[in-house]
Amino acid sequence: MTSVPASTGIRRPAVGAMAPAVSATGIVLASVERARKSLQWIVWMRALVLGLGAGIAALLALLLAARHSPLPTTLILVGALLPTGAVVIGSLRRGARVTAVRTALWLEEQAPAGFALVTLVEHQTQLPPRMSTQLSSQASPQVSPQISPVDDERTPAAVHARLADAYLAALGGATRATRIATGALNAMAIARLRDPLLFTLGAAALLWWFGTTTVARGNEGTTSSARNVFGTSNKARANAPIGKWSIRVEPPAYTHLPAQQLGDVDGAKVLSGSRLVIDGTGDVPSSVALRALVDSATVARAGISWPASLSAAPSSTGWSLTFTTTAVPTELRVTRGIANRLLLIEGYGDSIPRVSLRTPAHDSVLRSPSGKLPLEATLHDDLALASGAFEMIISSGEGERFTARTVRVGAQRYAGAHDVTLRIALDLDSMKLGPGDIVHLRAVAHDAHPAANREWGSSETRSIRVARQAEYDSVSVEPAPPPEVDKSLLSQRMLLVMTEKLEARRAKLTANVLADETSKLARDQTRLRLAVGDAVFQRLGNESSAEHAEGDEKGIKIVDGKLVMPPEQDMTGMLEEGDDSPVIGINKPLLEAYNAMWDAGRALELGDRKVAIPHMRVALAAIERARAASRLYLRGKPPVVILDLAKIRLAGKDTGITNVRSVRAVQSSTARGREARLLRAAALAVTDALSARDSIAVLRLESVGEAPEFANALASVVTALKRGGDATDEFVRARRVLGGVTRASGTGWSRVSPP
Amino acid sequence: MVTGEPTVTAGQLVVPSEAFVFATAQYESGDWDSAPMVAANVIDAIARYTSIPVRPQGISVPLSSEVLYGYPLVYLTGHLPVRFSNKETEVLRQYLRRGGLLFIDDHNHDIDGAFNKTVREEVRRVVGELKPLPNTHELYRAFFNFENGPPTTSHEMNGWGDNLVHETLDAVLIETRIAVLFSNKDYSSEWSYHPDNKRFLSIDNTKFAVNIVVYALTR
Amino acid sequence: MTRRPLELIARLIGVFALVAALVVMLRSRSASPARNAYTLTPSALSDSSAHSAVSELSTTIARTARDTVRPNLRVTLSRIPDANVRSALAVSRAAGLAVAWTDSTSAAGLAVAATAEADPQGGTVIHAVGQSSRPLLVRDGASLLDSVDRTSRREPNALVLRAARLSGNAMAEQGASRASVPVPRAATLRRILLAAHPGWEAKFVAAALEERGWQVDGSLLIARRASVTLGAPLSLDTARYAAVIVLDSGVVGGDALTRFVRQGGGVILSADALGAPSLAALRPASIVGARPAVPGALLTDAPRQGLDAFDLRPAPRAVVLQQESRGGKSEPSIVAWRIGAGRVLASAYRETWRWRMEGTDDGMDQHRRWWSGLVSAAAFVPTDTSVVHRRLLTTRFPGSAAPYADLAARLGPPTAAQPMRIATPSGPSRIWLLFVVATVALLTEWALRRFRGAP
Repeated sequence: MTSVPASTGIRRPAVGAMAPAVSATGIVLASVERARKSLQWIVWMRALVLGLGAGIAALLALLLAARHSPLPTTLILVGALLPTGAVVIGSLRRGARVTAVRTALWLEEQAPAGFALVTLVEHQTQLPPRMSTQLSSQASPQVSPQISPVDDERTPAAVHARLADAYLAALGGATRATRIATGALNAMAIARLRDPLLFTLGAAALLWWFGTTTVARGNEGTTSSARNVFGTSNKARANAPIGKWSIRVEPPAYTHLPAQQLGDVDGAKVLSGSRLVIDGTGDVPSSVALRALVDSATVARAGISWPASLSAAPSSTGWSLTFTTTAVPTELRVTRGIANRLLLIEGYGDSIPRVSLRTPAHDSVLRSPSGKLPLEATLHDDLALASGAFEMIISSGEGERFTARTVRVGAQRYAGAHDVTLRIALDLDSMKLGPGDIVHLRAVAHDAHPAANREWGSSETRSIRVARQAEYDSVSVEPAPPPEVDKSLLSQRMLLVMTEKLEARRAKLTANVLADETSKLARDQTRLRLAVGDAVFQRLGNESSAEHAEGDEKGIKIVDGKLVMPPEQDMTGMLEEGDDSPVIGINKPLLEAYNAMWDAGRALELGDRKVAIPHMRVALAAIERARAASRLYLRGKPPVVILDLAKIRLAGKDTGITNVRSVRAVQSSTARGREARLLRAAALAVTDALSARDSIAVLRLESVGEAPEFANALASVVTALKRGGDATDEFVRARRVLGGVTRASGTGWSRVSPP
Repeated sequence: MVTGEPTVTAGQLVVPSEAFVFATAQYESGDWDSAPMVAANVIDAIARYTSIPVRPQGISVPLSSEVLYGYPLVYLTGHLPVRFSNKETEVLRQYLRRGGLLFIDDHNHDIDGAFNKTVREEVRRVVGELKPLPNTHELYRAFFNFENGPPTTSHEMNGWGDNLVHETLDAVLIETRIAVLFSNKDYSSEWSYHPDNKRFLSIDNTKFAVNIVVYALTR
Repeated sequence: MTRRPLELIARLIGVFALVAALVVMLRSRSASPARNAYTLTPSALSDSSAHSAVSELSTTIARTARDTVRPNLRVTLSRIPDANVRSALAVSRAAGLAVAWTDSTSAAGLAVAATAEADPQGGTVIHAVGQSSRPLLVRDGASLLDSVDRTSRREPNALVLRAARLSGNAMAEQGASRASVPVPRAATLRRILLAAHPGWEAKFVAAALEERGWQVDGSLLIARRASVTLGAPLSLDTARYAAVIVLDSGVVGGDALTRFVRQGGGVILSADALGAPSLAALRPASIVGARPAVPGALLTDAPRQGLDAFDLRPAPRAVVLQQESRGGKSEPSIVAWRIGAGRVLASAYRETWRWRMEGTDDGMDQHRRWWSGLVSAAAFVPTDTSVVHRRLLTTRFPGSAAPYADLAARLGPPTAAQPMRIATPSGPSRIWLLFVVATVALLTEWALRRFRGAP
């Protein structure tokens, strides 16, 4: 730099005249400075946008790579940041610094000024202040008249004049250049920033699409998938490939239960027959598969009809799917492309009602079937009772002849109640019960389930027996009524007593009175004998009394009015081919009684009471024996028959055949199958925890019914896998609960001993 | 074959074979004891035609007691309605699951009768629906060969009860094994006589009982 | 910062690295009086993949090629090395090195064996044994199976496990040492012959075995010329039958049974058959009394006490497989012995069918498994020829099933620990590193100088 000495003759301008010239240069320089800053900003922004775009592109590339092999989160983050930093740094290094001179050059490119602006900027920075002031002052129009025209261009005045001209021209040009700076800067900004912005926005859009559409299930524990980079598993659920869904359960109409919104769940416990509606988001799934988690035999036994096919339909939210649940655990798998989602349905059935008969509390015997019998029962159903009633089966008859009729009383209908008490007072008179009738009483209840073959609930049965007329005057429980022969016993005893009394009073009575009384006794004896005969012949096949029998009756002969059985036949019982009536052991005593009564009657008809009395005693004894036999029999203590096996062993003429027994089916251990699946899930958990969790959830649902302890252990495994982290302890516990590994005692034997 | 407790004879331990015991089911609701002679007749038939050790006397066993489990074949009959109590239901269910065989005969011989209807309902609740057993089943070849299925009884032929001749028996099968065998043919009446009277019969009508016992003992 | 200080620093680094390399070289030459002594680095031995150890050994063997004196290889083992390393050590020995190893494993005697259970439902029996100084763990590829720790009692740790299904190999571990054996293939099973009179015991034993998966043959004599046939009974031979179950006396001849047993077959004598005179020579125990069933025991966790049984006196060389505690005394309930190639078992229990019918809800399954276990303990199982062939093709050493024994077999017994003053093979690598550092530093110094424009 050179300085111009004060003695060269340059007139110093007046102080006031200097101010406009200095400010003009300053204004130009200030404009240049403003332009410089703007250009610098453009450069920085471009670098930043480019860097951001590069980073996003790198992140996208890494995420795509992570689909195929797992990459740690740190690597992905570093891999995304590095290109960003490198591009930013690289962009800023290459001509990052925008100087005033460069700005001036750029301005001159926009509006050429003969490098005047550049020179101004360059020299302004280098000229001493006095020189620039002098130049500025000489450039001012007020100063110029003081300068005389000279001819010598080499004079300092000429030089200064030329400098002043140049200065003015430069100032003009520079001013012109700065004037267009704003527009040029805007164009520059657009031009420089447009492409990087487009690139960056494009990369960001791709990344967004990638994150929200297909992502293969990566490692949950590792970080290959978008959900792990972006945050928690909740967010991951929101970004799951099938997307969110909303489950609504509509219970069967007969239950009168309201519909339930379950939301976005993976499992549900649902009443059989409910309508399950799934509203999903996104495209319609390509396939929907429904699978029972029990064996086919159980499905067949439960009478379940499976839908032939199931498909989702488009809806306003995305897609929708409806099906009816069953009582068996079911898995629903919704698939779209390579992604799928599982819904586990734990179906349960509607239980049949529980009924408990409170009154009467015990079996009982009624002496006379009249009056009101209070009946009370409690009915309970888990969902909805439809009706309840008392049901009675009334059996009449004895021996081999029974008839039965069924009566329902106290029927009530219910509109979905859960707990009800059924009470009535049973009018026994209206039941038209007779002696010896047995009433089997129970309470029954139906629930509102609409199935045609629906089972009903019933209480325990109480037996109410009506005592026979001649039964003991006792209310103790007798399992059998007194037989008909009891009546005979009473009459025969009375006859005997009366005959003995008449014989004792013989001396005091006249012959006519004696004869009349004896005839009456004879008639009574005959009547009694006929009644016994009826009893005998009824058991022989409902024939009328022996008086009307003709010829042989079932092997019994009538000889002189008496019933005679051939002595060679066994009197304890006989059955001939084609005979249709069993003969029981009381026949022989009754026959004896009949015959003795015959003798007694004959004697009484002849007026010979003394002869009649012994026969009457024999008849009485025989009837007592018959009565005792029948009473024991009817009380359920059968006659004791002990066979002599040695005598009859292999005495039969026929021999059997050699035959082949069918083989028993192998009882396959379901525990083995479960353990195999558990081990497979454990191996899968190392690489794909989500799939392992699903497998174990399915296995848990299948095991709930048969192996609840194992199911509980699996629930712990599922919880541990959801939590993330090590689930080894839970796996080991589940395996042990299954009993697949047991200790054996070590002995000096090459094989283990039995468990 | 020796039956009874182990004994030592001539220095040798003689271990008896286990004897078959014919058990009749005793239930609470009806006339379970309506055919007391059946046991003797069946025992007689087993001894007469087979070498199976059998106790000479039958036994009655309550259905409500776990004692039932000690008799893997049990016979049930009656005329009156049958209603199992909760305890009887549970015991019977376990009994059949573990391998027991329940042989039921309708002493009424009446498909409209209370016994038939109530037994079918009770069996359905305990173990399942009674279904016709094919006449080619191995039961009919288990000892004697019954080519035409279950032998007809005289009660059927004489039109007693429901006046029907039932062509088949009904059964509940667990896997392939008969768990419940149900007869409407009234074998209870058919076999209700003293075994000594078999000598008067031209055909022994208790042979089918042998098939049932042999089936129960070997399948 | 100006370039000159940088150049100075780079030059200093270069010079220092060269000096250090020289020092290291001189020291390694002078510090090793035993040039032919080698060892394995602890890092190589602890490498689970065995790659480093094998690589080091290979290098060592190559280096010893120039040794004129027989080289020594000293190894201190804190865990039993893997099969590859053991083989490499054996190769080192074969290559002429005097291999001496010091045992710090605390896993002497560690061994595991796995045999297929003779059961239609499969299963494996694992025997594992180890020292008393550390707990013994048994695991498979999926998880830990069981563990035992008898260190306080100073008894060897031993386990016998029955596993229904295994994943991967069966392994026994003590500390960091591991014995491993592959899971054997399922055993080939033959049929069972049931020799019994008709009755509940025959019915339910046959049912239990068939439900378990066994195939049962037999003939139950019902009458003189009538019988019920089970399966397709043929002559008694190990080609067809794995075992014979004799439930009653008088149903099978003693001679046929004896022949069968000597061939390798198994015979199970139930209590009621033990008294048969024809079987006297076969039975491993004789009846000396009877013990009645304990009422109600069928419903407890010791259900067999609810069965009638005989008191047995085992023969002198018989083995008692199971005992029952009654009134403080232990009574043998299953006794067994070998006759020829076969096995004979005697059971003291009568009417075991009551366990199934009168026991708890689990009684059916327990009864099945018990009877199947009886048969498994005696059944004839033909040898798996593929295993035989595999063994013929491999070395005569115990292998990974008994890795300590394998190591000792290959290298000889362990030696006492000795102090090591041995030049490590890592000496040359240090020199190379220092040389690289020096080169880089000097190059950097030159580059900086040239950038500065200096010559």
